[in-house]
Amino acid sequence: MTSSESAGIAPLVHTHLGEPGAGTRALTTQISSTLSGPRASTSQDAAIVCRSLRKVFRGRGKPDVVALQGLDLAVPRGVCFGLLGPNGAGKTTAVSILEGLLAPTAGDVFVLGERWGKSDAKLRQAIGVTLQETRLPDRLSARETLQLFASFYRESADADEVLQAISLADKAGARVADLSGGQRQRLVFGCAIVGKPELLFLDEPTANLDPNSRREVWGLIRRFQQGGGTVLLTTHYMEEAERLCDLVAVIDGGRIISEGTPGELAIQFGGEHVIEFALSAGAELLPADLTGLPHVTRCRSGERRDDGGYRLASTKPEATLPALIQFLQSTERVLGPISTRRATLDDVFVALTGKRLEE
Amino acid sequence: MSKGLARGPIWNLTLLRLRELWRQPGTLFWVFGFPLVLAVGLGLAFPEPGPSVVKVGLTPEVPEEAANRLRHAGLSVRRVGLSEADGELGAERLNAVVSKSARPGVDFTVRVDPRAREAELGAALVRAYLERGAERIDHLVVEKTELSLKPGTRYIDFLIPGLIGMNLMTGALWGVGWSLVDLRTRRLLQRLRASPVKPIQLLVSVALSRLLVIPLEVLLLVAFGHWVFGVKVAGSLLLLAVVVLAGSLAFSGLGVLLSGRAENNETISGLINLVTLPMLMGSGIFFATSHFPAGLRKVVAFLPLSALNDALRGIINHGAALTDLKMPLAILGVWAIATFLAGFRLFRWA
Repeated sequence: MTSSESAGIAPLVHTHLGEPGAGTRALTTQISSTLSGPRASTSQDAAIVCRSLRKVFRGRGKPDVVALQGLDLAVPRGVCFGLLGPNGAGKTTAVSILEGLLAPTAGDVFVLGERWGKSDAKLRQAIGVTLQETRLPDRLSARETLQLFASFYRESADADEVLQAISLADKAGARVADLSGGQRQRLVFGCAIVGKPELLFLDEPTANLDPNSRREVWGLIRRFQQGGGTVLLTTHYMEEAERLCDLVAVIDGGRIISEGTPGELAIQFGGEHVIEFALSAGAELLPADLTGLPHVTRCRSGERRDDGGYRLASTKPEATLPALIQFLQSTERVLGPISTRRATLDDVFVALTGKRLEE
Repeated sequence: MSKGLARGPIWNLTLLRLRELWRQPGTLFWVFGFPLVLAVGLGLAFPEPGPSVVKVGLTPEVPEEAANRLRHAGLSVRRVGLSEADGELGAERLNAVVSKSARPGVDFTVRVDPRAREAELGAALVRAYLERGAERIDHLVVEKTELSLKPGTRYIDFLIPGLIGMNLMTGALWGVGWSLVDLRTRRLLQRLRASPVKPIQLLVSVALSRLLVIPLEVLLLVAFGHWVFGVKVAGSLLLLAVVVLAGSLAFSGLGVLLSGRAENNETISGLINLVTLPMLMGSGIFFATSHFPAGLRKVVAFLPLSALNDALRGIINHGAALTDLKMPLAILGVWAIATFLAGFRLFRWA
């Protein structure tokens, strides 16, 4: 994520984070009730429920790889749910199991109230999928590709309608090979929705796309959700999760380490606001000096390699900032660059794992 | 199924394969052009040999009367110096060289290169005619008669059905086996698996797309052989179609079987080469297997390409009827069923 990019959509992020509406609060309640409620109802109410999901890849000659170690997840119907984590966290493994493409080593999975292995034909009709790195046939046209995928489903949308929806109507006759990366990704998305699914699984839907194409795909995902669909997506883009997801689960090392609305997570783990600053050369501070400042909840130093500066999480920056400046002046330290911003999921991830997501 | 066939998955997956074929000129050449190039190349390289003439060289001291006698008997005769004789024999420009014998009581010496194919024949002919001359026998002791050449016995007649068989084999193995693995490496199989498509629908459509291309391939070779080389189909075209179908199914099944677990294009290419090589050599495409040892002949007879080539040659060259083709058709049928069943069991999406 570049700084100019995040600046461009900053107002939207703020609205999203700042006003956790009644809707999202209700969803959180629903989640806690689905997790603790009686079994029969959980698998019916939620779009996806999985419990104690484990996946071990047997290493032939090499050590076994534990990809998932006890994953619990509940995705209510009608929400966009983000699985957030760095590469290798187990996101794709988890999604593959939920999509019925991979068998778990242990654990229960309910998708739309059904189980894989029992209602596969029904489930396949009801879900739409985009995988990472699927190469659509190069020599088919965009329309032919959609017609092909439409032919798999009992009930499907008209190929031309889907082309309209994914803004490829003028490329209907163009070969897949001649489409740009963004156009191809929209076509991949079109193939996922042409069967009129209730539930969409999107594995890294905007990986390797330029910012414009990424925004176009976000628009498509949002429109699908507005039409009543449920979305489960994986991403390692913070901006994507913050803009699209009603709920996110942070996954690292094969287990979920935190879950909630993006706003809640930001508040819970990052502090509501972040103050970043640096000192002029040679000056140093002890963390204890900073945690003593009013309304500071956390403090980290030297974690940003580029400026070697400090980062404070504050619940009330208008009180923290004057105190900080006063403290620095009284101890005769010279302040370098300083900025304040709202906490993001990136801050959450750093707080939870000590590493940044997009590295 | 609520949808008609035309909008159903099998037909649309078949269309996918056909479109991928049509829209790739390189593949089109290998499917349709290459067999024709082979037919022309081999047809020109192995023309029908003319009647073979034994060429005899005579050293200067051999009397003209002996030369005339040999010439009269139909041999090609010319004079040659004794010093050049060995060189001409070694290069097979001459099959035998006759000179005056130095031994008392012997008129002539016939010199041959023992490695040359025609050596014994040349020596025997020269001896026969010269000895007959010496005995002054003037009437014919043995009369020569030539068999009348039947249609379908030239090399090109043998070659065209073999090329059809080979083409059906390679076309099906690459068109089915390699294509399936290619879909897998592009992760399209995984994507299809995430949709309601069933494995059987996919496998049937890939095989079907093959079967739809085959009539064109075969017709092209048959028509080409007919017009360019005068190779006629002696038997029924309908029966030819049945044999072609049986052969294609057997090799499509083999393609499905080979593709079942191959993870990448290199593996499937290797597997296809491994399977085709013994048949290219052992199933009589370019040369008859009649010179193989009897034991080996019995084994290769059960290879699908052997059965297919037998049946194709039976129909095209000898006008065989269905009853003549029970054995090859049975062999092809067993291959088709066994490989499809095994391939279906072995098949993995990813």
